[in-house]
Amino acid sequence: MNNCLKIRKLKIENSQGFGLIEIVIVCGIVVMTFLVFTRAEVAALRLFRAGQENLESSLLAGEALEAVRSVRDESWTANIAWRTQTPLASPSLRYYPVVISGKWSLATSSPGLINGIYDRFVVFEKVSRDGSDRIVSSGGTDDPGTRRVTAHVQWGTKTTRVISYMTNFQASLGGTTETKTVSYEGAALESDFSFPSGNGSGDLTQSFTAPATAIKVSRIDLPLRRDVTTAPSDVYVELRTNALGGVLGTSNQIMGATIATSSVALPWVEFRFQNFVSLNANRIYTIRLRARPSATDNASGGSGLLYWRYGSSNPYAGGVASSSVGHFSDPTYGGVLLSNYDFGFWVYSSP
Amino acid sequence: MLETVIYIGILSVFTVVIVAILMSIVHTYNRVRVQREVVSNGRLAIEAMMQQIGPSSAIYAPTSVFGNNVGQLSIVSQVEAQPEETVNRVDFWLDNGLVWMRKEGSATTSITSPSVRVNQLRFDQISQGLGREAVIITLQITSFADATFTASSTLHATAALRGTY
Repeated sequence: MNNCLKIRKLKIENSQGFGLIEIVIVCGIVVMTFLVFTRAEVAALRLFRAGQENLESSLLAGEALEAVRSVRDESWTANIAWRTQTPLASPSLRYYPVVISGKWSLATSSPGLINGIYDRFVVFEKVSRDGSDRIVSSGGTDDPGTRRVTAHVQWGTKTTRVISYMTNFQASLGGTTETKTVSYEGAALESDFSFPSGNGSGDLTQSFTAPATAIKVSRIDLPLRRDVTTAPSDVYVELRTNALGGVLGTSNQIMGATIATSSVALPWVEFRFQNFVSLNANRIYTIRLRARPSATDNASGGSGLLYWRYGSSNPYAGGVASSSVGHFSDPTYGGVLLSNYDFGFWVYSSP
Repeated sequence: MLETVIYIGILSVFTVVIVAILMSIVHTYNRVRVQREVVSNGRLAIEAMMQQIGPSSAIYAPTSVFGNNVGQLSIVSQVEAQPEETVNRVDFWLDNGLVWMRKEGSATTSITSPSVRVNQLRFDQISQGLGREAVIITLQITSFADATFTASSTLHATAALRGTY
């Protein structure tokens, strides 16, 4: 009986602390398991963050290629072909897609980071073809009507690259041509008239005489420069029978912020009419520069300054310039006749 | 008695660690969910607009609002024109934090979900040449359903109107 009690007591003493070890082990296993979950969480967060960056960067790369297609559609010779020719190497320099005067352009200097993160540029490369017109990576002869375009979007250490082959397909299609039909090109002054601000000062106009045959106007170009400090409101052009007359056509809207600030190489800003505007022969018509919000309304929300270049001593015989048209929300106010001045303009027509 | 105290101590520490980890998992899940909502809504909205703009032939200027953070775009397309109509008109606009689309003859539908808020839908018109129109889309989208966890994304895309050639 005593022996039995001794054995039982010994077993109990030997098993003391066993439960504690089990609990510690189980706790360790569970904590380790949850730590693995935590690592998975961090990975998931990184993955979704990367997913967002990939979406943003791939859209930017796609937009860069669309910008190249746009300038390609405008003119292969002027905008694409020379970028890989002597003395420029293939691959070409980096070109940065930027919007200038409401059109895509390819600049050689970076406009800065997009969204404060992404650096975006495109590179052109020559494309060679073999005797069967197949594209080959080496050998073959250069196809001057095809270029390999790579859009790069870089952020941190990451890069998204999208490649496309672009061809001068329009060379074989022909297409509609535009001719400069009426113009006044001698405009060199810009200091006296500014437009548009939100103080209700009104619109600027320039009239012109249509040529001896009826024409269909497709676009009007104006020599505009914006003030350096504040981007002006967006602008567009109306083609009217006179400054206050019926609107024959309204152009596309040009982003004020994209108009150049340079007064040295002043660009002509292109305003396009979606539908051709038919003008009768020898009749006088008026170009009215307008802003959105309107420059005719006081405190309209319009901002910034824009300069429309002009010439003095009444240099254009076919029309007159006016300022302050429709000022202070008065649609019947024909403005101040600038009898000594004329604003520059190009009127393009299409057959 | 001593063992009991140790057990309780260990269990307490264990419980605190587990709760902290569980809270972290829930926190991460919510952040991932919010980010996923923003990304998927942004992608779908941009794709829906680009799919409609691509085959369209013209911008309908009178009802389009360009250069504004609360923009509107109206386009004219020959695709999916209603019977007895030669063209189909499609509108996109921002209202009350949602991007809406209306096709002629169809009901107005939202192309973003109420779980996100679109702060900016800006359209800028590009005229590259005769009949060469394009639209730059800027979409700024943030999470909306949960104020604790926020995510935001600004998307830029350009769609050319190729319905004329």
